[in-house]
Amino acid sequence: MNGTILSVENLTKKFGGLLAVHRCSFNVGRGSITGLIGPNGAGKTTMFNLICGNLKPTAGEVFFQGKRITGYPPHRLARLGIGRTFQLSRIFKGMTVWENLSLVPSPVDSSTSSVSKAEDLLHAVGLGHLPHTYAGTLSYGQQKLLEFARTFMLDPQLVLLDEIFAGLNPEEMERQIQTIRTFREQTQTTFVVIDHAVSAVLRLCERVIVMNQGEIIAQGPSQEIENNENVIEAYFGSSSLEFLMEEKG
Amino acid sequence: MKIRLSLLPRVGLFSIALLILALVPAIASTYIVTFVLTLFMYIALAYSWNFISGYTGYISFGQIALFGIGSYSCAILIFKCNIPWFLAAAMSSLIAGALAIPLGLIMLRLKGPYFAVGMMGLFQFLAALAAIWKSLTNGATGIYLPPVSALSYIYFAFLGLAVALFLATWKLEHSVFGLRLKTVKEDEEGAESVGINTTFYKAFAFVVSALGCGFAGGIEVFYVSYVDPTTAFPAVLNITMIIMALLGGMGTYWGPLIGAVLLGQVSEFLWAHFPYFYLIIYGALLAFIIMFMPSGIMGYFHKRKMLKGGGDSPLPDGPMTLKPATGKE
Amino acid sequence: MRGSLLVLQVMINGLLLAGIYGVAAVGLNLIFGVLRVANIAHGDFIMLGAFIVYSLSTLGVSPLIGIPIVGGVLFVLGLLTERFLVEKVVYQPMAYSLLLLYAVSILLRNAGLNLWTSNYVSLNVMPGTLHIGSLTISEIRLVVFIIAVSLTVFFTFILNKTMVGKTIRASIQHPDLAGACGIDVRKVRALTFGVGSLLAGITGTFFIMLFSVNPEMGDMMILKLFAIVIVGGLGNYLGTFVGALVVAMAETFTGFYATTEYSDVAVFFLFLLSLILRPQGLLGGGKTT
Repeated sequence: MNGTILSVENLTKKFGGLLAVHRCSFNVGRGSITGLIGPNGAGKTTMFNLICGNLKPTAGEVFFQGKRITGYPPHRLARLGIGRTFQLSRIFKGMTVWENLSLVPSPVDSSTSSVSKAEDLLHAVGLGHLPHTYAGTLSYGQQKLLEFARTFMLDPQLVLLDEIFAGLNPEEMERQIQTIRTFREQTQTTFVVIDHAVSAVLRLCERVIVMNQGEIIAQGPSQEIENNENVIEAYFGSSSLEFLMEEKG
Repeated sequence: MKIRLSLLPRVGLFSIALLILALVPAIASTYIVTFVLTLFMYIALAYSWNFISGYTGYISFGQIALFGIGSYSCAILIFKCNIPWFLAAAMSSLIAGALAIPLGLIMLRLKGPYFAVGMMGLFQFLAALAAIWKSLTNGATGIYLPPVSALSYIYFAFLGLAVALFLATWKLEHSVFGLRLKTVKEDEEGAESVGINTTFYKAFAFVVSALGCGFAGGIEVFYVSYVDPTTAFPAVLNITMIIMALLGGMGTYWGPLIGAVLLGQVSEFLWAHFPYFYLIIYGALLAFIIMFMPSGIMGYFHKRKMLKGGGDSPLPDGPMTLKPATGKE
Repeated sequence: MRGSLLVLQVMINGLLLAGIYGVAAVGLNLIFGVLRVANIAHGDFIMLGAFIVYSLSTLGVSPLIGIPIVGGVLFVLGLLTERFLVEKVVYQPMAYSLLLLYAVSILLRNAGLNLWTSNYVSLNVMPGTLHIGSLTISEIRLVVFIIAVSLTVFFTFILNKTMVGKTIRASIQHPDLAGACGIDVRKVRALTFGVGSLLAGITGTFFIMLFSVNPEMGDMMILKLFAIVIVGGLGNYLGTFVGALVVAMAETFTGFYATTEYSDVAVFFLFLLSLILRPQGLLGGGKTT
């Protein structure tokens, strides 16, 4: 690893009496693809929201490239180089594909003009032939791709992907994994991925962080997590993770 | 991306229309001049409301508050500082705009119904305040101003304001700035996540709206040569500007013009024949628009364009790279 | 009367007023809870209630009969408003229902002005006063207060504590699930709006028996109600009591120590302040859009 790009220390979020995230700490290495998994309600999306400024933490700190960014507003973090997608893709449905990309403010120091960047990104995700299509009329998979492309208009160093595989069939999932790997190779972007498709996440990511009920119960290389007893118990009680992986094929 | 050549004939038509309008005071009767200048005021107000509520989606039930601030500022500047009326109107527009910055930053933190009713509360608060702050505003007695020397001055003032707001809206629709403003309505959180400072854009729209309303208030006060809490914050105008923008099409650049012209005609007719009923008819009209044509007249055309441009294509094959595909698409 | 006793007197009046506001606020909360719609026309339904009972009394109908009639009329009116107007926009973004109910508000207010002119009227029902030591409480205020609190407690109880109420509330937030459970969501929505309007109408009857009102009262009422709901938290029923108390106290105190003009300004100011300080309500647990 060439250093830590994201560092989370004792991050805590309380909603009234509910402890959504409790004293979580982890580091993400530059250029890595890290997974964040856990059963429903574990606090994964809340974690993303805390990192990206959509929510203010009750306690704890977040560091990006060594700089403290705790509580910074989302638009400022986006400009600093943190991109993010959402569970339900938040593209602007009333605007065309091209407009969705062109409205993204150019990053502070960019070498390529945004027109050529937008063109490249559209081609890269396979939407190059649809620039003037209204985003709301795209298929679900295409909307996800648009959101993904749009995130890269920011020239992000870190991209957080929330439920990247949701609603995709195995073939599309595989293609998604390839796309992320390719982007990482070509731009050295760091990825953190949340998803429920545990097998796909384990295949895609080198490291995995596992959350349950707001706490991190395990973190480490994917191989280790696969067989970690705590993780298996968190998801299934007594059944095995491998059973799930076999099912997904 | 858009072809600039098509702009020339449009500019030509626009200039001709302006020329015709400029001749009206010279050739038409006082009644017509009065009717048209009122129309220009409606247009200005409809565009002002549209700028904030149409583009950001923050529905305001009290933009008239800024109109009232403009009215009183202008009256006080003319009456107490002896400033020539046009300058006073311009200054009161700036006052309204300046006040809109803190007001906007506070009010725009509120969502949906809170913002709407909040603005309603604001204008009622200001009206009540004007009534008790007698040292500044003369309270309910009001301030009397010298009468207008020539109607054509008011006519051109309102015309200028309407044109300015129209052009500002046009510019907004044809710029990236405008696209970013529209994202506030589309998805505020999503916009933030791609680096758009939505607070700035919302405040900007609110201030422009205030500048428009404030200026209109200033000109209006000079026109009627009088101000008091009721005439400064007229509830009827408040409702009218909303309906006009909605009728024509919220968030479009022809919408407020169409809505204002249409409703302006109708209101003239209603005022003549049903003086007590016409607000009831307005209420019914607004309800009708929301239920059956919420995007207004322009919105209907825009929707057709959107649906035609759509295309469902399957996901392309093969792995993705950042290098553009070679000529196949 | 001694200073502290005076303050106590004003506080009692404030408390009595809070009871009345509570009824309307519960209605507003109810409509928001089930339909996710902020009823901008709520103040005008209050006005209708006031003026219907007034008109009935000019025809010789005693308010004792008039109030239940108002309840019935407003219930039906609310039901019809929901069924034919609001229903069309329930699944749309909030802006739609906001504008629609704003339109209804304009309609009702101006219909009221047409029917009853802008004159202030009042119903003098029970002119007697009670004396407790040196304190005076007008009988009608006390009676109204008792009815108001009973109504509020009754409805809050039904909604919060009974299984029926809970099930309905829970399932309306997921109409698809509710349908699967055999609940007709459309009917529930219409009935809810009807009940909320009923509560508003009855509040109106209280108002006209205690104060002078005119058809434009809806304006002020909706602001006060929003202030209550903001202070207490939209959807938070306990907060509603607190909110009503705060607003009513503020109004009575300023109304006592200054003229009505100032009291109006004070109420508006309180309203704006509450928006700024706590858009989600002081007690939390409030639901925003």
